[in-house]
Amino acid sequence: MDLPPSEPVAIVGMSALYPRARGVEAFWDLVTAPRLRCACTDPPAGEDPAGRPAVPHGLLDIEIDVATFKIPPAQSASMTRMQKLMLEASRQAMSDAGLADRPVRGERFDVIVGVCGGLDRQYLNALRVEAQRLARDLRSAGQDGRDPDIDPDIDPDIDPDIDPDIDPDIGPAAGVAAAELLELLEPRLAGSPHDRVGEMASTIPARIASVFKLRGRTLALEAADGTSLVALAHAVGSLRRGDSDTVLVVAGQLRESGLLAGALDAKGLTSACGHPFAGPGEGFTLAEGVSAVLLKRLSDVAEDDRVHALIRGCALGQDPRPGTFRYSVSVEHRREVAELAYRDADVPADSIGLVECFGSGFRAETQAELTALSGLYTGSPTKAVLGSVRDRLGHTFANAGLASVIKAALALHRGTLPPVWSPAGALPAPGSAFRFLASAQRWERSASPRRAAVSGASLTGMLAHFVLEEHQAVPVPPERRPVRRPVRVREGEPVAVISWGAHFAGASGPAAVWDVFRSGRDRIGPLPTRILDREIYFDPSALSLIHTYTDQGSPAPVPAVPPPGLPITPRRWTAMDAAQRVALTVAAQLFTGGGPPPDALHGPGLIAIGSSLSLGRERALNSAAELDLAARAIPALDALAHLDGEDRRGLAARTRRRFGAPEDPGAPGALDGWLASGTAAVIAGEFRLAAVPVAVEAACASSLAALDLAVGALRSGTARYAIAGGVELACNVRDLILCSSLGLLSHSKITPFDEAADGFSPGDGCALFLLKRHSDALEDGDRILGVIRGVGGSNDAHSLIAPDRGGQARAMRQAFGDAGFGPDTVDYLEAHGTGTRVGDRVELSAVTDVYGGGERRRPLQVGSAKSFFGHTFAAAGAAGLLRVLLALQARTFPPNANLRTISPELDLDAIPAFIDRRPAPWPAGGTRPRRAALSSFGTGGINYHVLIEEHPDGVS
Amino acid sequence: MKLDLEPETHQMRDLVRDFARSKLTGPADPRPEQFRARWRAAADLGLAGCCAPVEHGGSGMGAAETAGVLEALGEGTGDTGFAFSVAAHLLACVTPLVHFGSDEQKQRWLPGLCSGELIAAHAVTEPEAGSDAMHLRTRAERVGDHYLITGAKAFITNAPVADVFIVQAATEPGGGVFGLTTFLVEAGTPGLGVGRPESKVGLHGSPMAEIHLDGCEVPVGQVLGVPGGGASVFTASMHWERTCLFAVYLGAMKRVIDSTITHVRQREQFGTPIGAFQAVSHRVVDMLLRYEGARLLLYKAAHDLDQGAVDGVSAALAKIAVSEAAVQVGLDAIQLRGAQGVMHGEAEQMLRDCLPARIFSGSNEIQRNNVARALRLDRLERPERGA
Repeated sequence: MDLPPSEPVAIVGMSALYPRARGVEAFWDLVTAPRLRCACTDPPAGEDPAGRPAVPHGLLDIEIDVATFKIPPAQSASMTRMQKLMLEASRQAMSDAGLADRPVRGERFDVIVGVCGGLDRQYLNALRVEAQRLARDLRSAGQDGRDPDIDPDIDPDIDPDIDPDIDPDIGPAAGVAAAELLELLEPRLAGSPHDRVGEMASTIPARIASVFKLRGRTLALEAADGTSLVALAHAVGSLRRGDSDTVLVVAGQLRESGLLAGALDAKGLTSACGHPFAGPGEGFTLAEGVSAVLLKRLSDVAEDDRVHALIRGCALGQDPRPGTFRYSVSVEHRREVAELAYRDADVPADSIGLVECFGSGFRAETQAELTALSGLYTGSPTKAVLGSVRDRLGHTFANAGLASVIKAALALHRGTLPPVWSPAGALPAPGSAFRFLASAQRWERSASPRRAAVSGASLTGMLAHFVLEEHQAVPVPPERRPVRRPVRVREGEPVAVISWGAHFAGASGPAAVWDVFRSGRDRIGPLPTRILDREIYFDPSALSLIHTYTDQGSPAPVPAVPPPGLPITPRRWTAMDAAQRVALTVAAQLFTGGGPPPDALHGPGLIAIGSSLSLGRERALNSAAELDLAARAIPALDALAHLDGEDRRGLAARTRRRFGAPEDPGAPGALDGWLASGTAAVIAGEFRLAAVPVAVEAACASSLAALDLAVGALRSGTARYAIAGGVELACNVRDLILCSSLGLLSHSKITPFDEAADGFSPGDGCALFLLKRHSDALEDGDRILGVIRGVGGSNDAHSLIAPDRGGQARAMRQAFGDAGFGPDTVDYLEAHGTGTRVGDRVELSAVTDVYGGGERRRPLQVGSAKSFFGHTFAAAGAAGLLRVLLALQARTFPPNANLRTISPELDLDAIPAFIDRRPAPWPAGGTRPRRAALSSFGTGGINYHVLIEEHPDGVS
Repeated sequence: MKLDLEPETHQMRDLVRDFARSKLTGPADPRPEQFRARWRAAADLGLAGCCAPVEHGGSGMGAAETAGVLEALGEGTGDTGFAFSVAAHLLACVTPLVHFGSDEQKQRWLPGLCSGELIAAHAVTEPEAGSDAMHLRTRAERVGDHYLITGAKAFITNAPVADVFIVQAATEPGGGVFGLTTFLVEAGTPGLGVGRPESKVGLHGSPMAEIHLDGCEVPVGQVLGVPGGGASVFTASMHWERTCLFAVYLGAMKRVIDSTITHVRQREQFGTPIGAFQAVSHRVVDMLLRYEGARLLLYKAAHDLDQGAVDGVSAALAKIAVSEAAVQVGLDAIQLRGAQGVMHGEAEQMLRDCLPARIFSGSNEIQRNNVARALRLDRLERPERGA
C-alpha cells in the first residue's frame, strides 16, 4: 500500500505507579539505576518505622480518597481498586500535561483503558452469590446423609456406605453453621446496589471521563500481555484519522487474586525472577503497575505543551497458529511487523538507538525477536542498546507495553540510554546488532533525531512494534520524507459487511434469527434451574443483594461440540468459557453460507469482539477455589462444636460433594479458557487468520465499540479485513442478582417503548461480522450484506447510570458527520431500547433532537431486537446490527414483540417516527439506497451510533 | 589459571565502586535504621545476592566474580564494617543456603535475602568454643517434628539486625564431625534472644551481638542440609568466606595504598616530597608487594573454588596472606602519615578494621594448622632407600 507518511503523535503527559516507583521521576530513577541483578522481586518502596521494607509487595498501600475526585463516598466500596488507581494515574498524567489547572476541551477527548483478568469487585460479587449456594449445600448436607446424584461406581473416592441413621442433631446444627459461615464471609462480601456498575472494566474509562469531563469515546480492552500496545495503536489510529483530538491511554495490572499468576504458572510461563533476555530460569514474574499517557497529534501541539516524545509509527501483527495460546517464535512475522512499523514511521530501521523489548523472556522468543530485528538494523553505525523494563518491574502484563513506551520516551527526552541487567548467558551473542549497557549513558545524537523502538508480543500470538522519536522544538530537516501532513484520507470510507454469524436463544445462524423476528414472537421465558436455582436465589418480592426478583430470560444453549473440521479435543472444548464456545461456533458461520473461506482472507486482520473483560468461567474458577477453602473450614465452625469430630468432618465432606469439587484453575490450559481476548484469539488460531485478537468492553455498547475499532483499523489501512461483533451470556445468576439489586430488570418481559416498560430481561447471544473496506470487497468480488457509512461515539461525562440526552445526540451527530449524509435519509432506527420508561424517553428525545424537524419523506421506523432476545449486554449492538442487515436483505422493517401500548411519554410525531408490531415492506429510497441507524448505549454514559446502508446491488 | 577477570566482571566492579563511592560515604553508622538504609541500597544494586542463582533473585556469580565485586565494594567505601556485613551475609548464609538448601528452603528465603528484605547471620562461635568448632555446647534435640535448640552464641556478625540465623548446634554430642546439624532459625522465633550490640575495635559499621537459644523450637523442615551434616555446611561456607570475604580487605588496602601514594607525593619535608626518600618509597613498594601478592593468592583460591576445590588449602593461604598484609599495610600507612596517622582517619580506621581479620573466619593460627594437616607434616615419613 502506498500511503503518504502518517502524522506523528505526541506524548504530552505521562504517569507511572509501581511498587518501587510512585511517579514518573521515581520510575526514571528506577530504570536508570545500575543493577547487578534483576530487580523484579524487589520489595516495595515503602518502609516501616524500623526501616524494614513494607509488606506486601504491590500497590496495595496506595490510599486513594475518592472524595478528591468528587465521587460520593457511598460508591467507594463498590469501585474496583483498579478504578481508583487508574483515576490516580489519570490525574497524574493530566497534571503532567498541564491540564490540572487548564480548562479541558473534552469534546473529542477519548479514554482507552487496558486491563487483563478479573478485578477485585468482580471476584467478590461472584463470591457473594456462590457463597449462598455453599450455605444451602451445608444445610442440605445436614438434613440427610446422602449425596445426591452420586454413583459410587463412577466416583471411587466416595464412600457408598453413608450411615442412613444420621444423628438428628446434625440437621439443626448444620442450619446454624450455614448462617455462621455466611456471617464469617460477610465482611468480605458486603455489597451495594452499585456493585454491577462498580465492578466493570469499562466503568473505569467512563469514570475517568466523568471526573475530568471528557466527552469522547470511552472503552476498555484486553489483548493479554499485548493489551497496552493494542490500546496505544488504537489511540494512534484514532488521532491520525481525526476521530478524536486527544486520547488518554491508561493501562494497569494488579494481582487481584492468585488466579492469573497461577494460570500463567500452570502454562509454564513464570519463574521466581522475571529477568529479560532469556537468562537462566526462563520465564517471568507477574507484577503490579498502572500507567497512563496522554496523546495528541503533533500538528495540534501548542506552545505550552511539553512533548516527551513522538510516536512516529506503529504496527501490530499476528502469528496464526491453532492450538493452545503461546508466544510467536516466528522470525518472519516479527520482521514483517517491524518493517510495517518503519514504513508507517517513514524512518530507516537502522536509525534506532534503543530497543525496548517486553517479550516473555523465553529463549526461543527472544532469539526470534533479536534475529528479526538484527536483520533490520545491520546498517547501523553503532549497535542499538537493548532494554527491558522487566528487570526493574517484573512483567506488568497488561501494562507492560505502556511501561516500555514511557521508559523509551523518558530516555529520548533526557538524551540518556538506560542500562539493563543481563545475567550471564543471556542474549545477545557477540556479533549481533545489539549491546547491553551496565550503567546509564549519554545518548549521543547523530545526523538524525534520536529514535527508540518498542517491540513486544502477547501470549495470544500478537506482535507489536512501535517507533518513537525525540521531539525537537526546532524542526529538523526532513531526511527523505516529504512535508508531513495529517493523513485523514480514509475518513468516512465505507466499510462493507461481507459475512455474518449469529447464535441467540433458539436461533443459530442469521436465517434462524430472521425467522424469529418475522414471527413476532419473543424468545424470553422462565430460566431453567441449571441457570437459576430458584430455591436459593429467586424471591419475586425482594429487592436484595442476594436474590433476583425475576426468573425470566432468553438463554441460548452452548454448542456441545466444536464446529466441524476444527481439531479441538473434548477436554479443551469443555475447558473453554461458554462465550468462547459460542463465539467460535458463530465465527465458523462466517466462512460458510456465502462468506469467503478463511484462507481467502489475506493481509493483516483484526478480530475485535465486544465482551465482558472478565468471563464467567474466570469468576467461577476463582469463587470455587475460594469457597473450597471455606468448605474445608466447616468442621471448625462454632455451631458444630458439640458434634464429634467424625460427624463434623462427614458433614463438611458431604457439603463439598454437593457443592462440587472445584475445577483445577491451575490446569495448563485453564488460562486459554477464561481470557476474554481468548475468544478472539481462538478464532484467529483455529481459522489460521493473521488477525490481531482483542476483547473490547464498553458496557452494553461493547459490540459497537468493537465495530468502531474494526472500522478504524480498516480505514487506517492497518487491517485489510476484520471480524467484529459481540458475545455475552447474560443469563447467569450473578448478573441476575446484581442487576436485580439495582432494579434494572423487568418483572416480566422487556418491552421497549411500551407504557408497561419496567426494565430489561437478560439474554444470551453472539453475532459476528466479517468486514472489509468497501472498495476491497468490491475488488475481491465479495457478497456485500450492507455498508457501514458512519460511526459515532461519545461519553456523557455526566452520570454513570442515568442516560443523557445530550451525550446520545453527540454520538449520533458524529456518526452523520462521518457518513456525510443527513438523518432525513435514514429509514429505520434500530434503537438501543433499554426497556425502562426513563431510558426509552431519553433515547427518543435524543433521536428527536437529531432526526426530528427535518424534511423526512416517511416516518422513521423504530424497533429493537431486545423485545425478542432480551438484553444481551456486550452482544446487544451486534444483535442490533444483525437485525438491520437482515432487514435490509429482506427489504422488510422488522416488527417488535409484546408491544401493547406505546408509551404516551414518547413524542413520536415530533420526529416523526413509527414503532410497528408487524413486519412491513421497506420501500426503496428512490435515488438513494435504503438506510438504517443503530444505537447502543452502555452504563457509564457510553453511547455509540452507527449508520448502515444497503449495497446498491443488494443481495446476490 | 586466568589472571584477569571477564570484561563483564570489570564492568560490574566499576558499577559497585561507583555505587560505594557515591552511596556509602561518611563514617560507619551501626544504628539499625541507618544500617538498613545502606543495606537496601546495596541490595538494590545486587550485592546481597550476587552469588545466588538468577532464578532466586541473585546474579548467579561464581567465586571469582563475587570476590571481584566485594573487592570493588571494599575499595569504594571507607565503611569496611558494612562491606564485611554484606560479605558475611552473602558467604556464610546465602552461599550455604544455595549449596545445601532444599528447593523449598531456597524458594522461601533466597528471594528475600537477595532483594534486601532479609538479612542473615551465621551463628557458630560460642563463648567457650571459637576455634574448637566441633565441640559446640549448643544442643538441638529432636522432639517429634521439630528440634529444641538450647545454648548461646557469641560475636555473631549481623545478629542485631538479622531476620534469619543459620545456627550450628550439636545434635549428637561427642559425635565429632557427624555430631553437628545446621538450622535455619527466623528472628522472632520463641526462645531466640539477641543480646545488646557489642562494641569492638574496628568494623564499626558491622553490628555484632550474642544470641541466646532457650528451648527454641525449629521445625525439622528448617534443617539445612542433612541432620548430622552441619560440619560440611560450616566447612563449605568457611571456604567461601575465607576466599571472597577477604576481597573486601584487598579493596580496602588498594584504597589506602592509593591515598598513601597521594600523600607521599604531596607531603613535603626538607623541601622535597617525602616519597623521594628511600625509607618512604621502599615502604610504599613493600605495601604494594604485600597487596599484590595477597591478591594473587586470593584470586587463585577463588579460581580453585570455582573449579570445585574442597581441601581449603588455597583458601587458608589466601586468608592468612590477605589479613596479615592488611594489618601491615595499615601499620605502614599510619607510619607514612606521621602524626596525622595516629589521628582518627583513613589509615587508623583501616588498621582497626584489619585487626579482627587475623582472628575471624578461623584464626590465622588455625589456618596454618589446616594447611599443615593437609601437608601431613605430622606424619613420620622415612626416606626411600636407595634413592
